[in-house]
Amino acid sequence: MREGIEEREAEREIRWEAVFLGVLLAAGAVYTGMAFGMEWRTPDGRIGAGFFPRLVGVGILGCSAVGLARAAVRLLRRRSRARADPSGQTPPRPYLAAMVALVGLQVVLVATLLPLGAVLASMLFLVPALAVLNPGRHVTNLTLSVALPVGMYLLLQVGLNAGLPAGVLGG
Amino acid sequence: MLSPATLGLLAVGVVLGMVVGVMPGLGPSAGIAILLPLTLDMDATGAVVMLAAIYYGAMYGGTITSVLVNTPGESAAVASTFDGYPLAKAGRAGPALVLAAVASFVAGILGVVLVAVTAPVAAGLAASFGPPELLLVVIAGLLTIIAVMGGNRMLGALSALIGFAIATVGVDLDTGAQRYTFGSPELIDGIDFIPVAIGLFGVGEILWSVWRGEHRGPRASFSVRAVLGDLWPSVAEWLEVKWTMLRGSVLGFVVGLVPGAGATVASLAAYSVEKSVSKDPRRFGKGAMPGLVGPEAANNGASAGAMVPLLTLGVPGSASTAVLLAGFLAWGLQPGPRLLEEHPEFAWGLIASMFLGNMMLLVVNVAAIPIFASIAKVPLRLLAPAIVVVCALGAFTVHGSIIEVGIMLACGVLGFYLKRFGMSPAALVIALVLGPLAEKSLRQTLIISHGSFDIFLQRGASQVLLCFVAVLLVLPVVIGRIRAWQARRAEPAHRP
Repeated sequence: MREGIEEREAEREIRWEAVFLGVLLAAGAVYTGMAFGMEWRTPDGRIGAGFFPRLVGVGILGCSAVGLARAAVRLLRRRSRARADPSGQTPPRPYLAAMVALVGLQVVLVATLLPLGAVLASMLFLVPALAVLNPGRHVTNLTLSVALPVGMYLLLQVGLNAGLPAGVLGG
Repeated sequence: MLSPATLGLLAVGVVLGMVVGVMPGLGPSAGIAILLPLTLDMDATGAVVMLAAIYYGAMYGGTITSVLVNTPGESAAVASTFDGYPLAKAGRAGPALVLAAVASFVAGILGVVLVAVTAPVAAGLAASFGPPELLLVVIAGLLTIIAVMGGNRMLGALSALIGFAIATVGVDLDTGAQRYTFGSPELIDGIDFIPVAIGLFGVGEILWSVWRGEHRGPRASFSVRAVLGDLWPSVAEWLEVKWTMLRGSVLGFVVGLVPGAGATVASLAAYSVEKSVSKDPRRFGKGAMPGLVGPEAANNGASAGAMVPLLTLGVPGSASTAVLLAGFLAWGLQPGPRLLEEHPEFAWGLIASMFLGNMMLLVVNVAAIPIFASIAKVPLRLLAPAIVVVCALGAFTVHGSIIEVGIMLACGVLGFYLKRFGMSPAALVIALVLGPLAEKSLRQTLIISHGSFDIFLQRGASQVLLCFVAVLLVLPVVIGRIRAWQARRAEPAHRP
């Protein structure tokens, strides 16, 4: 039964790898298409702006296409093996929700950094992020959520004059 | 050059590097990338001295977590877990960490002497290199990284190509044409290296750790006093590793000289060497002191060796030295054959600071091992959000650009997927740094040769480098075939 779960886990990873390589292939196609819109040679015979990007783009297309094909072959082989496993158990999911939450909160951090300022935006990020990753320890989380942004402000802005956004606290 | 202020920065760099190296999920490359923005307001010499100190401080910091909690801070410290953790379980972590610190010190000092001797020679050799040779050095460096990463080398090559692609964003300096800027004035100067490195190594590592549930793991629970044992090694332990330190130091330095090979290869090679020369190789993996000391000396020796191609060719040998190179460029210092002539105070000051930094590292290590051991107990669930904030604010301070914070975040997600699917963030970062040099060298080569690639066969240095590139291309294929053949031969013998 354990082997069946591992087979499905491996199959899931290969499926996501194929999706990722597909995205890279699509991005590579856009990049290469734009590279072919640039000059290979300038009118006076010099090497154009599109010369290097075309080589890189074709390389990306080739590598991601071969990687995608290999992933597809591996996926087909695994599927036939997984079908032979009668248990049908689903493998445990990694901590996808926590990771997605962390990415989502980072997007909020980026969006609020200028309007709210570094200190408030960081606090707004830290409170929910710590609630997700370190649930139930409210005092620790709140202390860190206040102390870290203030400490960073003192170090970067007061100490090094690094130009952090002041946001609403800047008046 | 080494004023009291610079010495102060050196000490701060060593301590910060060790703190970063001890933190779970962060290694030297992430540490330097995250702390790089802090140094942007400093003078060039002080900043680079501090960054170099963070680099070798973090290299050693990773040893503490490898030995105490079996968690290497980065790949170069993996070999240190093989015997370091069994030593900790036996209550010998204290002597193990002291000997690892001494080995790092010996390798660092020997490495600095070797850098001082070889850098001028290498600079002289590099001065004879033209565009074809520089292009081949870049290709060889990237191929070495791809060859040693194992697994799927095609995906390693794809990582490097993505780095080259990111490097093409911005104005083409030769023709003045804009490339991939999508009309954004923020992208005209290209995508800055620092937010990309912070994203890939800082945020990417954190996302990877959270995805694997490391934040849910139990807090590293060990009694610092019990696991360290007697701090000072016995006479027998000192005698057992005296030659190990020298072997590891020299081997590490030589491996570090090869662009792209780096500390990981050096530490694994040193482990193999120590095992093969040992009178009792069966002790390895069960707590043999040479199994820890050899890799430790080697990875520090490689850190020193990697400075030679970095300073004389401007070619970084690892992700960490790529981030260091970005620091050099940020202060207008262009590493290359002329650096020793044009900025001798900087180059020799950096080498002298490495000497002093290694001495500081030894003192800090031996005196503060219990303190750093306690830092290793801070759980990832508290560190992860804090590191993200440090990364975001650090990325903003580089140019005060919110776009760059967005780029940092996007690169964090990209770094997560690269790690997840066995690709190489290190190859991407090095290709990003070397992209402009590769493009310029290729263009100049084709101009000199009137579009012909025969030029690579007409020059002696090119021929040697071309042979090296060919070996790097062919060797992994040949080794793979031999292993497959050996596996096929062994299979029938195992069948009942």
